[in-house]
Amino acid sequence: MSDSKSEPLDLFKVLLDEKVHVKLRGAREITGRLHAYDSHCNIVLSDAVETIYDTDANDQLISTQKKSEVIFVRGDSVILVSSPNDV
Amino acid sequence: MDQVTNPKPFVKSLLNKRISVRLKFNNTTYEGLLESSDNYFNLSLSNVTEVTYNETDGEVKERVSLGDGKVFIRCNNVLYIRQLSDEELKAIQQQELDEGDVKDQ
Repeated sequence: MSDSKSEPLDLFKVLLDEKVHVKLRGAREITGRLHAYDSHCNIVLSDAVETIYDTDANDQLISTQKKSEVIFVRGDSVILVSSPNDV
Repeated sequence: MDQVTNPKPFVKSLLNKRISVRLKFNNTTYEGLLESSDNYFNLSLSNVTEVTYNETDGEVKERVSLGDGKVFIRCNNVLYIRQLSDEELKAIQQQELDEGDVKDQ
């Protein structure tokens, strides 16, 4: 018996072609426009900005940013997907 | 216990309730309204607050609201799911009020 009701993955459907915020393993975050996804949470984003957090020698939090025109994110590193809340 | 509750019905019973989802990593929980779940226990929550805890003493380090929108949590990251009790909800509300006061001053 499969329920035809709402599933968590429906959120991706709503967010297609919208800006999304993806939290990843290894203290990384990516924001970008959602182009494609599948049931494993494999994701293709465009105009993506990846932020990598780290601590320096003095234990201060530092972040570096990388920009990509198009990027494929493997689903197994995804922790959380939301719409960006800094609107 | 005279009645058996299996995992799926249990999570179903939490739909539209305030729950707390503990992650296996990062000393993080997500508190929010459970919107939906599937057979893998992927979750979608709304009105989510991200709570991080200190590694050392387990006290709350930071509470960050993720806004009104829905949030998808991938199943493999989840350690446990539990319902927030009325007392906890009250405590959280009080804390948010207090923080609001501090910001206003």
